[in-house]
Amino acid sequence: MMRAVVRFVFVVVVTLVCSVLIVLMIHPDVVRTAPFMRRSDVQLFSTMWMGIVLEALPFVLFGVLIAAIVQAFVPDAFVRRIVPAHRGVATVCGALLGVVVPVCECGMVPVVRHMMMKGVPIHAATAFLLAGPIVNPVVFSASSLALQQSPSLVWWRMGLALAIAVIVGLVIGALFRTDVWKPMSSAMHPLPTSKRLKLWHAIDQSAIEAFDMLVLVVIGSAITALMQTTVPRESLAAVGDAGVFSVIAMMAYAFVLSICSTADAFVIATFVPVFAPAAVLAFLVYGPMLDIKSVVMIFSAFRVRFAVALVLLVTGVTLLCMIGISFVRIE
Amino acid sequence: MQAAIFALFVLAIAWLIRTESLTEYIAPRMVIFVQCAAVLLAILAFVRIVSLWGESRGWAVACACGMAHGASRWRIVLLSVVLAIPLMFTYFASQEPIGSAMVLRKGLFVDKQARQLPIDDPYAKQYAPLAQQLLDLPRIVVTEEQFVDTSIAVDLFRSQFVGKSIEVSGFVHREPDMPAHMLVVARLAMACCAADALPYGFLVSTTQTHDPDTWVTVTGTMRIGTYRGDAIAYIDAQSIVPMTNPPKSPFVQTNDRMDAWDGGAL
Repeated sequence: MMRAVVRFVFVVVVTLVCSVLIVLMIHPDVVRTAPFMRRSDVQLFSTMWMGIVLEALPFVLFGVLIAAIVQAFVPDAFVRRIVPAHRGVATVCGALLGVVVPVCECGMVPVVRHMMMKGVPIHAATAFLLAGPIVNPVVFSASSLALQQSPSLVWWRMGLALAIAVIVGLVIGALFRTDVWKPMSSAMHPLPTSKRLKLWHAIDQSAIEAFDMLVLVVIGSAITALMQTTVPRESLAAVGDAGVFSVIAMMAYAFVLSICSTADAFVIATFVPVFAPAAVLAFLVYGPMLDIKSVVMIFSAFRVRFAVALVLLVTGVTLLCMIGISFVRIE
Repeated sequence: MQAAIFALFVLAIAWLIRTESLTEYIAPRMVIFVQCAAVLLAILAFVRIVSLWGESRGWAVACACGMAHGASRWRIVLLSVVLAIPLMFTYFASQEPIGSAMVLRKGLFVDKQARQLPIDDPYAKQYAPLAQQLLDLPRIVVTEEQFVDTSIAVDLFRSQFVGKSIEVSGFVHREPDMPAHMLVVARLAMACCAADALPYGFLVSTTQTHDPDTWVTVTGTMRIGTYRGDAIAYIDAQSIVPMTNPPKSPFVQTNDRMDAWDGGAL
């Protein structure tokens, strides 16, 4: 009885909402000219929100499809055979895998989760997760172009990313042996046997996963757009040359900004002449590894303990590295 | 439901392409990726629909485990609503210009220290060839394609540009602390999407007043003045006329710096 009432009320509400929406979509100017929508901050927020979502969309789909196809067609035994047995070697290989696999940060999490399911050891997969978005050739050429005036920064960016990824990978690998990802119901199912059905199934799986990932991107980019609308850039730009504090500020800036690793060098380029190199590198290395979007995805794909450890380690190691770097003279 | 949301995204992208407003959100060189994404989404939606249909008829197309692998129907409805919100925002976005508000958030003279660099600094040096080209012209007409680089070059080598006659078009922007006779002719440029857009512009000294976000063409002579305590290049305006055929978007559609990259890496 109660259930039926709830159901009835639900149907009525949904019908009402939908019909109001349809009427409004036919006459969009009613909403478009409403004072709320005309406010410049609301407009900025929605432009940046949709901008980030649209920009991330192709890479999320790409990542999810690669992940699903790897899941369906690469045998577990093959993965176990090619991964080096030595922990250090495996971790370095994981980090270097980023050089040949151009998946940027938006598509990274699903790929890495499927890699772990396939039996890639945690240390290697983590190193790939962190280094991948930075060391790939697309990001390299974009950074070189944006930072023409100080090409050594690009090499420092790549080198530090690899180093931090390997260090964090090794520590994470020592802390966690198994059981770091949240179970995905899809992985438990017996797979169809024929090749065609397998492909179909893989695409269908990726549709479901893409849907979930897209939700996370939408939420993450909403937070980013909100931050960008409310916090003026000047307030962060003011602290660029203040030692350790500037490193922390630039890491926070990169985290909040959540822009793609192919675009971030252009955003920071105008600051390079005036900021300490360590602060610029902190921005260029930390941003692609962790930002609002990727943290949302990491927390939903992996177990909380692993996610917390990963975030803390990356933050700590990057901070230490950058403080170390600030004593080195970089041209 | 998932298929419906994917289809909605495809429709939204198609609508943005048709109304030519996709470049309000993402840079021109990202458009091709988004178009590919729309095609992929359409395929995913199709596969999902056929699978669901197959499941309901008991085919072994997908796994026979019921809808969406045990994810509850409520969860999917909730998530779909979340995904639909940005689309609604986009559809109902008002058509008011946003250029000036964007410049205010991003900060026009944030890199003012960079603008005070000696001209033999490596950063300044890369703009030297362009500055020389511009100096060789009898009169500088700033094109949309060259807006970003020209504004940087003119400012870095400002002392050599003094007395040069210049013509530039853009939207009017005013910082809150600007004296009444000052304005900025600005444009925005993005590397990937609206979130990483940066403002560029020329400071203009004038006797007239103009509302923010109106499109104007400024003709005048380059001078050096001070703004917020720093030396800065500005245009001493002889005339400011409203543009008869203003661009649709505050963003410069070709970002010259990115063109080199398009040719090189992609």
